[in-house]
Amino acid sequence: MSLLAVRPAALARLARTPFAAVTTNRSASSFGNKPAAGAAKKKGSSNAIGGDSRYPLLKEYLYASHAEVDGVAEVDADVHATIERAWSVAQRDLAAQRHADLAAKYRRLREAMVTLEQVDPDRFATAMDREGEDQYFPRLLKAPTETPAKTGWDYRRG
Amino acid sequence: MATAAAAALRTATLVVRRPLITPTRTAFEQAYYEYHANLRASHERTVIPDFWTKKGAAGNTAAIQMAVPAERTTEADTANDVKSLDRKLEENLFLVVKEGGKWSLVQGAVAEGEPLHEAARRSVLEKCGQNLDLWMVGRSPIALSHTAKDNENIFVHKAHILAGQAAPTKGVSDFAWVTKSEMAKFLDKAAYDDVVELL
Repeated sequence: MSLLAVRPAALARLARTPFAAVTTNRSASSFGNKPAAGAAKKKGSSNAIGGDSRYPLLKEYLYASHAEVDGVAEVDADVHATIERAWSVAQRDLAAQRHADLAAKYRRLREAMVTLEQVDPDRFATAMDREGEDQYFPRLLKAPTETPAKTGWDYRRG
Repeated sequence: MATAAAAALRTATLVVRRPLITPTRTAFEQAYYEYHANLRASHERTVIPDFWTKKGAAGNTAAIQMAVPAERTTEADTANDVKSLDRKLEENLFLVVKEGGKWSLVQGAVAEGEPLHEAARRSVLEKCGQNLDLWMVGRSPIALSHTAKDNENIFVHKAHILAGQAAPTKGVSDFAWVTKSEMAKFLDKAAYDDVVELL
């Protein structure tokens, strides 16, 4: 039996219950012990196959129940929905603030360029030019990290 | 806006040191991430180390010395040294200079035939020293100053400082690297209202 096979009915059932911990009804000790019709218990215990002691470990790894780990309780669906909604509201407020900031910056940028076009067409053309070796991102412009560099800011001659 | 015939061109430059560290999480964000971490942990298969590693193969993990990272708040924060570029690492720091007794962005004139962005860059280097690794953000100005006199147009450009430090020269008596919330303490009301939405 393929270890990756999941019955479609079981998969659908799991998809409908996102808040319940994924459990299986099989435990390591019961796997392989379900009596098939008329079959006798296989020679050798479930603790080893051909002397390989990793088999019980494999069973534990794949089939053991993980319903509660370290006492983490399952969460109520309403509580989860409230938490997610509160997060969405907070993110929406942040996005709205960001949008407002950007809109204000764009208005000022547009005002400047419209004025420049009227006042000085040559400099406007230079400002509008998208080519040029000065128009690349510098190597030293790095993304922020959780902690700063131990060397601190590079004051160069400082 | 001044008319084309009479207007003189001037530049102002908003020099920014971008944040060097990620923003501090709010209490709500921290709680949310912890909630999801616990939710994930309760649904994940626990790792059984013996399944992956033979006994004794892992070695002496206690002998490994983890690196100690630098602190997020620095000495410059505790001393509140407004000239330091190591202060307020998670915020933007903007350069303000004191010229003629008044705090403002770095301003300068535009020479004949000189593009605006080059004039902006040149005026910062002339007034704040050559020890500045500046990156001009493109060629276009980001704003037209609303506090300019009738006979002049002041175009504001944005630049990033990547390394170095300001060393005031040529009429500039003082400088400071300030956050958006501290800007109001340095600029007068008209200048602050003009600049605040650009920060």
